[in-house]
Amino acid sequence: MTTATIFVCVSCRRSLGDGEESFDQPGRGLVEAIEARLQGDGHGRLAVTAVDCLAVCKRPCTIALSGTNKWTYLIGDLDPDSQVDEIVAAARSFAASDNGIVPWRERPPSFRKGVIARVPPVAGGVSAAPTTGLT
Amino acid sequence: MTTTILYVCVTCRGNEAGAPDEPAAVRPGARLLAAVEQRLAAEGDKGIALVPANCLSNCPRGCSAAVSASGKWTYVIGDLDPDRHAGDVVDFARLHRAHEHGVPEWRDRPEHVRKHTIARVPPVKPAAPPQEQS
Repeated sequence: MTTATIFVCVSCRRSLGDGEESFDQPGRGLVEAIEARLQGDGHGRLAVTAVDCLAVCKRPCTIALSGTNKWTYLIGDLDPDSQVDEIVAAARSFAASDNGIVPWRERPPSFRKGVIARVPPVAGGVSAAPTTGLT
Repeated sequence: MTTTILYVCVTCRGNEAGAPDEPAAVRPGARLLAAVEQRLAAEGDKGIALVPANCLSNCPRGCSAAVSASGKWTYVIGDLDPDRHAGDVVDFARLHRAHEHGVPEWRDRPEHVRKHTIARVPPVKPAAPPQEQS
């Protein structure tokens, strides 16, 4: 049973420094790297899904963490070359949480710094005003 | 049809240089909520549930709102001025409600929403989300 989904934007453009024409799109590779990290973990709880555009655009790479009855978190400024482990750790903490709000001390640095936005869970019994937890 | 939920962040300080100990009730986010509530009451709020949110974490680009519905994409909108953009927020919520996947046609969206969409997220259990426009 999947308890959380990692949405990875595959449209993000990462500048390679020489002007507008010089960019790559590391999102697809990031999807594969995360999938590889999750392999053989016996972790049925996490799913990874490529998305054609999370509409953030200016903060590559961007992901979203979602789950039923959980707040959704959008996290950007992620480095696909060095932060895959942090992304997976963040997703695991998220999946294990009741409502998607991971305690600050359990958030890897890239999660702490990179939150773009968060949205309350949609399901009935919406709780838009958490009594605990930082943003 | 499933209810469309319109969240307005009531803790947003927006772009105003408010005092740190400013009462919550006068924060720009709270004012935006009130303006949106008025607009919905005046125009009709059928199918749209307005929910105050305790921080959407879009703090550098407040004020903020989000539109969600079960089975649809969620949109987060920022840089909202409580005095100017309540109508745009409500208009976008109606468009979202009317669209099967919650992805209104680009040309129909209020200009502020086109330019200040912070992010969008697929539904938790995606069916066949359209991917050709964001």
